[in-house]
Amino acid sequence: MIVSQKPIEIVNILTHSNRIKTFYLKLKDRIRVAPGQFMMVWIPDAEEIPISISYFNGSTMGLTIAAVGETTRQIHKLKIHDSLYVRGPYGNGFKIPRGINKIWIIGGGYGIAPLLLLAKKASSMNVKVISFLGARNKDELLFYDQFKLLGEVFASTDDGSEGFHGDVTTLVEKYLSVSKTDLMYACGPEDMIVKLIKLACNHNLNLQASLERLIKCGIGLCGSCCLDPLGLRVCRDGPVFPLKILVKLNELGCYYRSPSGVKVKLSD
Amino acid sequence: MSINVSLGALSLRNPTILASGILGTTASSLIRVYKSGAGAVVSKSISINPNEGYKTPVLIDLGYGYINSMGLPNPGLDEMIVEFKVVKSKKVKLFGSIFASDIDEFKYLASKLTDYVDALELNLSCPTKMGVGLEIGKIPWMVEETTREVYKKSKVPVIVKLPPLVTLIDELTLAAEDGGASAVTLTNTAKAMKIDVFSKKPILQGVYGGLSGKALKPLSLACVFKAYEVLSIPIIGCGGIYSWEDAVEYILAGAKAIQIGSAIVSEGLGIFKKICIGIKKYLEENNIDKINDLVGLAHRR
Repeated sequence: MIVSQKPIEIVNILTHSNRIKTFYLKLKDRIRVAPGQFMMVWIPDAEEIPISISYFNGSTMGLTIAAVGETTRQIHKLKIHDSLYVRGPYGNGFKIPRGINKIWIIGGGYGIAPLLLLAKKASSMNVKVISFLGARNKDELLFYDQFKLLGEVFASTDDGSEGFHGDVTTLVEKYLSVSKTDLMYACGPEDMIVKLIKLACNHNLNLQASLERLIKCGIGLCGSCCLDPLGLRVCRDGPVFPLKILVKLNELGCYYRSPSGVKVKLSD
Repeated sequence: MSINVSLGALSLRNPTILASGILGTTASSLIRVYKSGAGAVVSKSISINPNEGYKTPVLIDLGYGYINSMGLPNPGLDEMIVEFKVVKSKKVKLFGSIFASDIDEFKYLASKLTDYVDALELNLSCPTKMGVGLEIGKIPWMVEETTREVYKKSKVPVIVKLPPLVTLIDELTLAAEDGGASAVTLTNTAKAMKIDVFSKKPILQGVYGGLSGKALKPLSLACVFKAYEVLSIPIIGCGGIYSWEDAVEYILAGAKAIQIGSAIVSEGLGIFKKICIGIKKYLEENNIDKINDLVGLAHRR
C-alpha cells in the first residue's frame, strides 16, 4: 500500500481512443492488488481522482483514464517518463467464491477497465469466463483482444462499429435465454448496473457490481461517497458490492450527492 | 458496572462519540455509526448555505496521523434538517455541529437547529476553512460572546469545540464556560501542512489542513489536563483515540466522554464497542463503579 501521494514514473502509455488512455507505472513499492480496487491519482495543480486498476503484474500497474474533466485532460497531456502521483490501492474488490465454474463479466464504457484483472484472475483459477463488453464504438471496447484470449466475448457498440448494435444489457438478456451463469460481475454506467440488478433478481442469478460515487478522501473518513439507506461508503465498504447489498441501495439509479452533499437527481 | 455518562443535562449510553467531520453528512451514515455502538454522533459542521469544501486532494496520510483540508463541505441548513429528522426518528443521540462567519449567522443556525438535535457543538476552530469566523476559537472574548449568543437561542446544551492551543486553553475554555457552554470538546485538529518536494508546492489546495490521529493525541491530552484544572463544566476529549487505553488516558486527564474520528480508518466502525468493552474491563479491574469516579484521577499529586 502506498499511503501518501507519491510520484511514480510512467513507463508506457496505451492510447485506446481520442479520449481513453492507459498509463503504465513502474512501482518500486511492493503492493498487493485485488481486481476492482482503485488508486487515488493526482498531479500538482489538478485534482486527485479515484481510478480503477486495469493491469498489475506485481511491479507494473495500468491505470485506464478517460479524459472527461479538467484533471483527466491534464493527465492525458503527460508523456512517458513523466510521473503520476498515486496512493492506494483502496477498497474491496471483486471476490471469486470457491466452487464457481463459470462467470459472466459485463462491462460498459470505461467500466470495462477494472474487469480485465478480474478476467485474468478467474481464468488463472480455471474459471470459465464469458465477457460482455459495451462501448460507444469499436476503439473504446477496451482490451477487447485481451478479453478474447481469456474466453468468449460478446461485444456491443452504440454506433454498431463492432458486434451488436445497441445496449450491452440487451446482449446479456438475449444470452440468458440460451445459457446460465453462476455469477455475474459488472462495472459501468449506473443505468446498466440498475438493469443488471433487476435481471439478476428476475433470473435468480448472483451479481457483484462496482459502483461510483464522489470519492474525496478515499479511506472512508469524509463520508462524501456514502450510499443510502445503509450509510455504506463506496471507497471503503465498496466499490464492489454483492447483490444482497445492491438490492437494498435505494438511491441507485435515483440520485447521488454533490461535493457539498446536496442530493442530485440522476435523471437531470 | 455501567459506562453511561452525563454531560450536564445530556445523558449518553456510553462515553464514545463520533467526532464532527467524520461520515456525518447523511442520515444513513450517522445512523450506521450510532448502531455500531457510539454513545452519540456529531454531524459534519453545518453552514446556512451549501458549501462544497476544497477541491481534492483533501487528505494526506502521514502514517502517524492525517492532514485533511475538507473545508467544511455540507449541504446547508435546510438539507441537513431533512437528514436530522430521519436521524431523530431512529432515536439516535445527535449533536449538530455548526460553523458561521459571524455571530448573527451562529445565532440563526442555533435557532433553526435547536429543535432537531440533542446538543449543539460550536465549531470555533476548524483550521482548514477559508475566510473569517473560524479564527474565533483563539480569542477568549470572542469565544465567550459567541457562546453566550448561541446559548440564548438554544433550547439544548451548547458544547464548544476549541483548537489545540495548549498555552491558551485554560482562558479559552473558561470563556466558553462563562458564555454558558454545557461542555467543551478538546480539541479540534491542529493547523498543519505538507509540501511536495518534487513540485515544490503544498499538496493541499487549501495549503493548510488539520492534523488529526496519533500525532495529535499528546497535544489534545495536554489541553484536557490543563483545562480540567480550571473548569467546572465537563470536558469531551478528542484527538488520536485509537484504543481503550487512549480513552482512559483522556478520562484520567479530566475528560468525561471522548470523540473518535481518524481511528475509524484503521480500526473500523467496531472501535466504539471495542473501546467501551475496554473501559468496562478497566473499571472492573480497578474496582471503580462508574466513569465519573475515574475522571481527572491523574491530577492527584
